[in-house]
Amino acid sequence: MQSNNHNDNAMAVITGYGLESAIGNNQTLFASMAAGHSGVRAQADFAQLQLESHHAALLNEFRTSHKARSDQFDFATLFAISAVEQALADAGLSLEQLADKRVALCFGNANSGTDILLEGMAQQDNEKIKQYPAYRQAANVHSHFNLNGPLFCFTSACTASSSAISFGRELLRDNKADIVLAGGSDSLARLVYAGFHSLRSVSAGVCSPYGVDTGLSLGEGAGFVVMETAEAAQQRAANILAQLRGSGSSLDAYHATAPEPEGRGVSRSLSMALADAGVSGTQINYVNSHGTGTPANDGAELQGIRRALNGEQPMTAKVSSSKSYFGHALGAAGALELISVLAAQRHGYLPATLGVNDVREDCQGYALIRERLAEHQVDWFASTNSAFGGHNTSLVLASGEVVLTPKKPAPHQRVFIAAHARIDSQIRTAADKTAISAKLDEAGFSLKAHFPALYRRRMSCLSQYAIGAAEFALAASGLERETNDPTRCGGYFATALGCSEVQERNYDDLAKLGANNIKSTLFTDTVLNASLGSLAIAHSIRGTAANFSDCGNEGLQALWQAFYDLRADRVERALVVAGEDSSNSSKQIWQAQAVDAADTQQANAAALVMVNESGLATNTQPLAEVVTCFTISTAQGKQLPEMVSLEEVDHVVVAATRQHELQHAQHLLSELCPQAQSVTPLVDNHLCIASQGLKALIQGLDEMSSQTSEAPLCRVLVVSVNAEQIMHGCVLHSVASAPRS
Amino acid sequence: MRHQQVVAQIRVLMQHSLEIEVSELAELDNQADLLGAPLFLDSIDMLQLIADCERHYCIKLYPQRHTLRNCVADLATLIISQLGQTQVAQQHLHRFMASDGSHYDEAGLVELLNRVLSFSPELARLSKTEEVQVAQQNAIALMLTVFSLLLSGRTPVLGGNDGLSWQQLCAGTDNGEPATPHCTGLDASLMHRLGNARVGFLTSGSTGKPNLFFKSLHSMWSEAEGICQSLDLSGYALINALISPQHMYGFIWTWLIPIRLNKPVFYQDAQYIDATPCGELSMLNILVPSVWDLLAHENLTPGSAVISSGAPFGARREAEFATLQKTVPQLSGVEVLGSTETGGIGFRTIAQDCIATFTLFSEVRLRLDDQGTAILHSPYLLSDHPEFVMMDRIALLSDGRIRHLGRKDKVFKYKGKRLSLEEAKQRLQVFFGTAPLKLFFVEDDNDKRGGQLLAFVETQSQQHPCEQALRDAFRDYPVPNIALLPSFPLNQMGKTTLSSLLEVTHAKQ
Repeated sequence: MQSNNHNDNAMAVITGYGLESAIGNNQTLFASMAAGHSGVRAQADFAQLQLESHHAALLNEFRTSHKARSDQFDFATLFAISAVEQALADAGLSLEQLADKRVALCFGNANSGTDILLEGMAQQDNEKIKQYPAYRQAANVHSHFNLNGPLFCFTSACTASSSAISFGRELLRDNKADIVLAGGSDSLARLVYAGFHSLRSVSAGVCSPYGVDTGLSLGEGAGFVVMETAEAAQQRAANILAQLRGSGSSLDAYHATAPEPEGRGVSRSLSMALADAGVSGTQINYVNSHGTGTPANDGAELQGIRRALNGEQPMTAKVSSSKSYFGHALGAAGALELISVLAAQRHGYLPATLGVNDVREDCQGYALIRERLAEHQVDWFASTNSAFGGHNTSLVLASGEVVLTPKKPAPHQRVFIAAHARIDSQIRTAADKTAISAKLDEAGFSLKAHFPALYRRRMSCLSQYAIGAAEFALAASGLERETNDPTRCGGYFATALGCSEVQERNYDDLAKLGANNIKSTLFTDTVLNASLGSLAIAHSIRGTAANFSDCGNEGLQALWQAFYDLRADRVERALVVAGEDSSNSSKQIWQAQAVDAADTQQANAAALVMVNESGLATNTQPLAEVVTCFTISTAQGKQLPEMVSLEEVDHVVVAATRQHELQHAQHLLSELCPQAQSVTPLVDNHLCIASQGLKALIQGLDEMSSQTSEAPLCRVLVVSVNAEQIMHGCVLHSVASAPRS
Repeated sequence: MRHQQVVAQIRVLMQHSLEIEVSELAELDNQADLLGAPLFLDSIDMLQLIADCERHYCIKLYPQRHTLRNCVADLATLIISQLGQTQVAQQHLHRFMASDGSHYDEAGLVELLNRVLSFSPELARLSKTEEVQVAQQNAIALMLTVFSLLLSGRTPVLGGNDGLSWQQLCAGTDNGEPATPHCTGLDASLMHRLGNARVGFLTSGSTGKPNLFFKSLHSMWSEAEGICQSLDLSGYALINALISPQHMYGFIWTWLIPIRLNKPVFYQDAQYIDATPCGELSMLNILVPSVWDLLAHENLTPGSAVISSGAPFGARREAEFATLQKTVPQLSGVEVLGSTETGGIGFRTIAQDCIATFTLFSEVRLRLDDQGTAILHSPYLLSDHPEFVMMDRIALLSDGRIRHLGRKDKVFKYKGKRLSLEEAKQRLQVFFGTAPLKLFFVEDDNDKRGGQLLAFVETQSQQHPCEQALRDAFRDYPVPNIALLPSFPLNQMGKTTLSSLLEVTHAKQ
């Protein structure tokens, strides 16, 4: 089995960017920043919500000019299409040039689609309901540009787009794409606006991060960068704006919304990115910080950045937050803020933070850029973001066109699956392939009943299933838990809709009680990575992390990210969990998506414990080795031209959301894997979307372990097919047969 | 308010909102740190608890709460302190005020009622079997007259110009003797006691024919209760009545609801419009669309609200309201759909909901029969009416709301044929473009053809259409008699009626 041409030395460079924001697009961004314009202003639409503030950075003109299409698409899709068009133009790439390239789309999104969902539900309009799920925004853009590369939707709230950019780099280095379009888009829904008010975190006027007047301003927009390898960019004489040299992520495992008060999570994430880039903290000239303006974030984040760059010494790098330009654009924040630096650097400047008359006590002693752009062409800069669920991301970039020689990467670690578990109508683990408990009753799984120490009050159904499945898997893995270093353990979560039952209660509150009665206790569970945060707290996960949403492929996408992080030894242990709950609204959404058996959906979760060679205990026998992850687009007959060779596969397990896609995939895979003894579908009595990939993988592992000597299954291909007919897969080797590195 | 009571209420809120079990709460000491043992709440729980307390007591606890410990006892202390400040701010307000300078507290009104009930010769003279027409007068005097009649077992009729006045009732009552306490307070118990009593409302009606409708006090009080359940009105410090309680909408919103909420009310007399003495407090402005412009006299405070009913609020006012929202933080508005016959049907948020989409009040049910006719079931209907057949076109939305599509296309009978009024209107619009016009078919038993078609056009032009062209356009229809008016007259409820149009037309002629 050959995983085709991986090259860690391949340098990912940014050759173009595009944005739609409250202070303008590619044409007007720099001029707006130079003039010190903020996109945050009083919004008439929000004034009627009777909240403490009605300020936000909305794209009012864009919304007005694109109103005709807003019945068909959420604005997140429309913002993104415009931003990607600008990014491609900026990179000098035409759609014709993309036609024969593997163009990946890595799309960050936090809470888009809520407005169109509520409209759709009110009007019983399935076409609108269909536009709701986060992945739909990504899929719309993917299909608008007729892209033939992989599609990933990152939904870790405010770190979604920076996660997307980071993963895009990995795809280039792994030769899974020729060009990556990475960034994020978010449209600000009334429900989200009200939700932030319930947390008392919204500024009465324009936010002033680091200032004594605290509070954030919400925003919306889209930002995308075009990434390609330095080699490809140089070959076509593209203008290289920056080189993405390192990335990192971490989990605080501290609180659902508040950051760890000393910024330790931020520090770990940035340190990881610096190490990845092979650069010391003192070499960083500038950091674009998350800088929301809230009392909990700014001081803690600056502490974390200082610790990563300068240890206990004062920080010398300049720092600013771009939130006062764009507002907090949530799923698009990381991308927009990175673009603000790229745009300023094009003219030899650094972005400023607006409106800071007096610096807050815990933000003093830093080289803050205030009010006006700072004239400074930097060599190295970093960007940090943090999100609900305690997720932090960092990017380290080298500015300008000079392509530096990358550091020599560490040798790859082998990646194994140590254990698995699943909870649906029963509980199953790797240790016991039959149900370890009696079939669950109608009330479903209760974390409080099984693991009271892991249960917290008001814990959502999805979190309970996810934490429970992870706990069963960890127990089955036999891995030492007390001595485990939490910072070397990663958390990866996959969910199509998140905690839909909580979201439903929130919708009801909005409709019946009004925006000023949205409950803070519910709102925090409505972000799609809320369960990842709960998982991190329950299992002390402080290493790398990502959150994916799709319509069937998110489980294997989460595994893919874990595979990269374990292989690069960023962490040595990973929990990969996929799950969903069941509610009236989720059933309605799946019916609108026309997935099979939408009404049979029930809460479920599947979990894998993955380890690399460093994390593999000497006395532990892993279940299988993960050799590679890949994607195939079968829509409109498209296939990746440089597919991983599948000729040696012994067996294939495939899962799909619809029967006809399943049959199509079985047929295609039979052709691609001529040696396979069989191509079998996932056997499951209930609809599962997010976890179908992991369940197919578990079925593959079961079949591997029950192999007979007459017909050994040494190499198993696991594939899931989503609603867009895109396949994601991974190849498993039985450990005995896996080639040693 | 006693500290213990507030502590008990906070515990109830914690149980329900934070999903804390009673057994866990039993272990909680009032001085214990809520973020620590035994509950280990987190900051999000605290935010929700504070929000619940603010809502329950209609007060603001931020940012003062930052200075206190996170324990039930301190939270109760803060609530009591904030309640005290709100009460101080409201102290300068009397319960019943009017723009002519008159003002009364509840006890004062009760004393006046009891004097009239005990000593009024005029009241004693009135028959108990006949309805009593009440004169148009100052709103407070009007309601004192109404309640004197109700408490003495008589049936008042409102809406006419002439009739019994408060001044007449008071004559001869100032005799220095103590009055009998017929009434002890203006509150819910009084409304329940008078539940079966009826009030007559004389309406002009959109067709110009006056109608007299009787509503039971029980029905109207139920409606006030239902409104308070559907809309959170508890946060407003003052009700500013820009309409009179002589119409049913005003009776409920400017008399019964202030009593239900125990809030002061300020009646704007049409002759003495004055700024409302609300200071910095938020107020609930009750109006009909025709008096919308009176709001310009008000110094609208942040968080205030507008309630409109009686006629469609309209797109122009909708836009003006949205503009006003930009200058008045947290200004909100609600349009109530309903009539004297139907009572309140539903409501919508102005400048937010679709102009025709209404949420039904919780006790109101609406269904469409096989012909698509809307049938209303409501406890707010006229006495002895289990249901009401609406003459409006209604669409039922899947979320339970309704879309009001206007009055049904009326059909009139002319020369034995059924003809569409809407069709006639469209033909006429060819001659007048977008100018507002109203069309009526006035039935006449003495006319063999059935009656005549009257058209009124709001236009500055005095040029009538060419008669031949008009005849051509109305070949199979009666040719309307057209009156050109510079502006349509509005009645007190902001409506244009046939009678007022005829009046203006005759005066012009």
